[in-house]
Amino acid sequence: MPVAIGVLAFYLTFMVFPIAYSLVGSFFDWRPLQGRFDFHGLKHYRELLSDPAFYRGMRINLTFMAGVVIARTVIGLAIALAIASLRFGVQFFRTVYFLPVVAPMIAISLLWTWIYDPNYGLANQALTLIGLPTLRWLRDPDLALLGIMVMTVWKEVGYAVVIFLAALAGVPRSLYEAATIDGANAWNRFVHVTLPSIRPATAFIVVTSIITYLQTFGQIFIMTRGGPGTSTTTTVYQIYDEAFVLFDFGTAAALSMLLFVVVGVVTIVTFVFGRRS
Amino acid sequence: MTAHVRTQVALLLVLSLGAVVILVPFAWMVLSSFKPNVELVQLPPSFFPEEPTFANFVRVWTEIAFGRYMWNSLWLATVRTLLVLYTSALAGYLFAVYDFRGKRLLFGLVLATMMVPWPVTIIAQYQQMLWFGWVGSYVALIVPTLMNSFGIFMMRQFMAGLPRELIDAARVDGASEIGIFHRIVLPLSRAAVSALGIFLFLWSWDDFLWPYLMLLDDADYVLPIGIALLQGRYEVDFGAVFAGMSLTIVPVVIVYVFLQRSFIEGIAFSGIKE
Repeated sequence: MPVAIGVLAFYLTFMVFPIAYSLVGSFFDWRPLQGRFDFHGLKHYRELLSDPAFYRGMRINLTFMAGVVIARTVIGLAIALAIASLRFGVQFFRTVYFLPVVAPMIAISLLWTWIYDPNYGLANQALTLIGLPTLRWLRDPDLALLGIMVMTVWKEVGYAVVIFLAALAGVPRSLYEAATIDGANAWNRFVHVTLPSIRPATAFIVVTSIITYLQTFGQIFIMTRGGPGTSTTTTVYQIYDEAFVLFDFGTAAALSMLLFVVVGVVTIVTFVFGRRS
Repeated sequence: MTAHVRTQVALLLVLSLGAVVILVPFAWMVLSSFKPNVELVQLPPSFFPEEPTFANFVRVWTEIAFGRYMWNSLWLATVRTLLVLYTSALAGYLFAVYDFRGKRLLFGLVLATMMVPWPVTIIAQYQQMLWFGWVGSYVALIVPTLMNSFGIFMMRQFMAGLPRELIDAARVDGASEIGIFHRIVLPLSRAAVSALGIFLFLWSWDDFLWPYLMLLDDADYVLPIGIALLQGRYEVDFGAVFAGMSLTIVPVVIVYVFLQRSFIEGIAFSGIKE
């Protein structure tokens, strides 16, 4: 049983201990570079919960998550349905839509910073081409978050497409034939046959997306660093800032515990909601 | 045209439009990396390079040491992938085939850590690395990532489906447990191993924050850090930015085009087995 002991030792050292230590550290004035670790009680939590910046960060974090999860799921399913109905070219489109998924996120984020460049970027060139006024994209506080969301969906919708395509291929043809004989039109077949049959895949996409996009960091770091102003400063970005720019680990740990609670609550709510419907 | 043909044509048009939206940014990036800086800022902008040049690549290679970062990324991703593949297969086999006290609890622990957001662990892990004196060394990148919950889970799911008679027959023939794992279980799991290997390699190739925090010496940097450094050149050297992005993205795309079957099937497999 040395393997079991190895697994246990690894998880205790590099997962369980850090989680427990972060929890403990959230009650301390914890500054690793000065070697400080003094008990503070609930001070960090009290400060955070009375700080408007905390709620703003959470709101931005949740907005980003909700937008990307919905868009990725809905667009992913739409593309998968379209590809699944094709007579030929299935493999070609599947390959193309999956391409951005394998491309490295950090480099793609920098590429999209360029695409959104107000002077030389593709986005404004495209708008000009179809005769629309140009936008300031990531430099505009009202558009920056949306810009990062669009980029994220562009990059990662292909994953949902592949999962949905695999699920759609598993729906028995006899179900569709039976529904057609019963006089169901295309929309009825979609609602009463397709959707219930692919529910496990939908649940998988929704839940994994929620967990992923509540923790998004790379794109925001590369594209906006939380700006302009605080328009893209999510809770995760605040944690990075407190921990690795200010090296205030206590505040960062308290913030990460609050994020943990939100991730847990949102995931449980999704499960309960999914069970019921 | 029958209704059916019309639907096919409409679908093809819409999907092709989407494919253009996916592909044009890649094409724009590659083409731009061959344009001199003056052409990149000219108005109206060009799509195809008017005077193609390799100068941008030469600059990222010599001034920002992209060749070095690429080599570091490559060997680090290879080492991490091989190590984690081995630990995932070994632990996956353990959970799939053996019964021992506390097995459910241990497997539950492995799965539960997948739900924990990374900001929760990264703070204390940083403190840990300070204690161990690993900051600034590749050890900090390799050891804490030696086991991977997703990898263990995926291998367990796959190996639970392997025929038990083969394993039992090998035992009767007197093969050792570790021998069975190496000579029978691993070869039979090739499909799952290669799918997981692709995942792990891509994850390491793209891993940014932890290396960014842990590596202190410029000579040790990996590609994503090089990309973050390029961002500093944003306002001054457009060509270098495009060349650096191309060098990071294009190799992955080329490998993907050749291996796309195992990429996509591995991913579909991981989702369906849930």
